[in-house]
Amino acid sequence: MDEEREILVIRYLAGELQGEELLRFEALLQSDEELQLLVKEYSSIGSGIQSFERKNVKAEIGAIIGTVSPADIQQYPPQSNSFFKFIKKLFKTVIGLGVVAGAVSVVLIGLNKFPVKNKYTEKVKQTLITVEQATGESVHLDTVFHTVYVTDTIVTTGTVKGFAPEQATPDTIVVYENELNGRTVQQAIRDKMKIAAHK
Amino acid sequence: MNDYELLRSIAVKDPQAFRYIYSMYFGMVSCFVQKNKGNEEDAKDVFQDALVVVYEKTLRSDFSLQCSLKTFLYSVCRNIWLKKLSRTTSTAHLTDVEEYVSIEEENTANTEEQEEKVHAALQQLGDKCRQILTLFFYYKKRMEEIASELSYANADTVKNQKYKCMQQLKRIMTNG
Repeated sequence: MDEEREILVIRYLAGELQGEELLRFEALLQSDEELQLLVKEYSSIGSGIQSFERKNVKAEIGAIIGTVSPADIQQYPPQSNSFFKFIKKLFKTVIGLGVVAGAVSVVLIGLNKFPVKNKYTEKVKQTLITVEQATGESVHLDTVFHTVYVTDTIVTTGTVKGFAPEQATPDTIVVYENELNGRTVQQAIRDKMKIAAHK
Repeated sequence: MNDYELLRSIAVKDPQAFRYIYSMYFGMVSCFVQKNKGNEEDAKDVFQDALVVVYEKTLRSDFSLQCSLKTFLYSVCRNIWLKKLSRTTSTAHLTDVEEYVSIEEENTANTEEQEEKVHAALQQLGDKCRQILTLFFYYKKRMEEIASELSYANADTVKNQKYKCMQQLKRIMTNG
């Protein structure tokens, strides 16, 4: 009888009892003090056996991981791959250069020095060459205002977006395209200069 | 090797799996322990204990991994270190280096004295008896499995033998 009870306790602690058998055992356990003591005793022995073997397993695992070379242990936090580091740096540099280029462009636009090249500026450039040849003076092209400067002379070849005539100084001669009336820009400038000289 | 393959290898005590886990995650545990008043040696001890816990979990048929093995291992190490810290310091606030999950712990009602008593008795017990009891109580093996592993005729023979071994162990413990 004792043997049977003890086997039942061992099976109970191992979680082997199920259904009706488990219910019967638990009901008995509630009323039987001797059985309670037996469960406690076997539980204590079971727990002791577990911790005994746990020590052996720990030593076994310790011996295994003791063979791992420190060089094989992954660093923490993980160091990113050098290739990805290079790409990251390159990306940052490109972004940085983009920002600098953007800022320079804004400044250049502000200073009217942005080198816009289109059909219209090409037409103005041709005019400039003509004026330079005629006057022997250096000519500057401001592509933002689409304006030709000949020393103190401003020549425009059309309706100038953003150009304010009041920008012109008293010494400035402004020639608009619609004033040319078949004359060359050079002739128109000379005519205006003559008129100015008479004044 | 993915987490499930690793767990399968751990369950059969494959040394390669333990070495792999150690090389992959010891750095993390070492960083955590050293950030929380410990040193490299403490970290090694915690890591070994945690690997034992992981191994024991794989012995349970109802165990299934609900997060990554890395998170699970970190959480187990965290619990172990928290327990060790709370023995020496009153407040144990931890600085974490990873996310963690709550781990169900198996509590033992035994005092250290009781444990020592059982350990001493087990050392005096014959090899066969010690094997039967550890296979049953620690490795959770069924009678049929023990019979096959230790070359007994059948499960009933093991059941009787186990009863006798328990009686013998109790006798050793009582007689000191």
